Amino acid sequence: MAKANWGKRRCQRFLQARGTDATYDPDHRAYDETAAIEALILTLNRAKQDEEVVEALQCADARVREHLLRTCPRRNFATTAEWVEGLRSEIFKRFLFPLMRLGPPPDEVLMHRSAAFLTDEVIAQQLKKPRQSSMQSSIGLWIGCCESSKRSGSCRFARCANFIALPSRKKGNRLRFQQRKTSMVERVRLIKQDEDEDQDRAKPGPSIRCAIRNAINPRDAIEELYVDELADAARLQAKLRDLGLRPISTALPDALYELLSDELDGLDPSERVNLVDAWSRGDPMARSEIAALLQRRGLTEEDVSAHALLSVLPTVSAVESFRSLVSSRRDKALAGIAFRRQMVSQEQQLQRSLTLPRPRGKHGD
Amino acid sequence: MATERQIAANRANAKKSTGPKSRAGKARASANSRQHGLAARVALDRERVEAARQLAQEIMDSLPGQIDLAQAMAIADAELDLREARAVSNGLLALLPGTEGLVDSGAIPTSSSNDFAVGVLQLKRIERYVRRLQVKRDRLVRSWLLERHVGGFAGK
Repeated sequence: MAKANWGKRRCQRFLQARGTDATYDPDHRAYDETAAIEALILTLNRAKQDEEVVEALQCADARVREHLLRTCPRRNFATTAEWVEGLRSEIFKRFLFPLMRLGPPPDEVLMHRSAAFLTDEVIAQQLKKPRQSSMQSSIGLWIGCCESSKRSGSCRFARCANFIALPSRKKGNRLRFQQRKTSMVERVRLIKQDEDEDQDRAKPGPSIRCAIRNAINPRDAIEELYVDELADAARLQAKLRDLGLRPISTALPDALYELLSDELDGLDPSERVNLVDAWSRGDPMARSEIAALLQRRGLTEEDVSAHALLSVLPTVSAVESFRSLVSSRRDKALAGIAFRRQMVSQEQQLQRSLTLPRPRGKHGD
Repeated sequence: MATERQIAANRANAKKSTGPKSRAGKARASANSRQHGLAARVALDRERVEAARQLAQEIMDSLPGQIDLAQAMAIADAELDLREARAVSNGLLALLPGTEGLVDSGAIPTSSSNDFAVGVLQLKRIERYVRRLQVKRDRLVRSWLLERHVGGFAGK
């Protein structure tokens, strides 16, 4: 965007120079006679030698130059300064005063002069620049945000992207820096996913949010915020409930291999894999076969589960800890609603006590 | 055990170290203590400002004459922070290995348990941040309620 702006300004400076050039060029349609004569006077004022005077006159309009050389030839003046003074007085008398009497040129003349160098091509080029600039800015909105997130994290996308690529905390890990430049696709996916979920939430139907909303019946926007909080916590809880058991079921085949290593090693490798797969899927034949093998070792399926649980205990513990955090967030939201409603009821009581007439005392005061 | 001479040499060497010199190195080092990057803010995020204004307006419309713009904006801003953090948490949970087929619980996840554990730890970290944001928003709501409450009694 900065590059496009710089390019535009550069073009405008060239255009300005072309405009100035056209103003003093007698052969150009944008020629401004008053400005040209004023410029000639200024140039003559600085001239100290005859060559400089001649050079200044060469730049002037042919009509002006011829008139001046005819009425004020060099031979009529003793010095250069006198010649310059004679030229100046002639210019003022013959050209500048009549022009000044006419006043400033009308708008039509000015427009005609502008149109002489602001051609269709120039205008098209100038319009092209902002278009480029806006295009680059819209692309930069995405890329710039994400790239600058190293320092500031300028938008939601960048923030999310930063977190997906949460690095390990090892010092000097180059990967850490590279991971922050997560692919654009991944960033879009994360945001889109959440937006899809938002749409799902907005859909009518027996969703968790609808159920909670119906139960709480929020009275204002503040309570709506709490409903959102509760719905989010409830959805997370439901997901985590299933997720907590996942690591154990993943570790079950490994646990079985470890416990029955001697028995399973005796089998053919493909047969062994098939047996364990079938057992983990809950196939009754495989289960009875494995139960027999376990019984031979004095074990049961519960021992396999316990072994699997022990192997993934840190992960299960982390999931449970996460669940407890989510639960406390949900409880906090409930407490928030309770507090809000308590305050509202107290306010209503206060208003009621203010509006009701006070009971009269014994003496009617 | 290091000798006195080694210790002195280490100290002298440490004094020479003045951090990264290159631009990339400085950028890398500037993010050394970053936890999740969600707390990063920019001076002007037009989308965000517009969303906050809209939410503040919703709050004010639902509570006519009870809340002023500054309070509503503060609550809306805190709420938007909270929503963003929750969105990241939800997205991250969906990216956890083995969560693709969470509904049909018959399938067994095939990804490594290490990735899963790392993902859960990240989620925990973000959840703590979500809690902080929740507390911040609740504190704003409570202060507004208490202010109204105290104002009501003072009026009496």
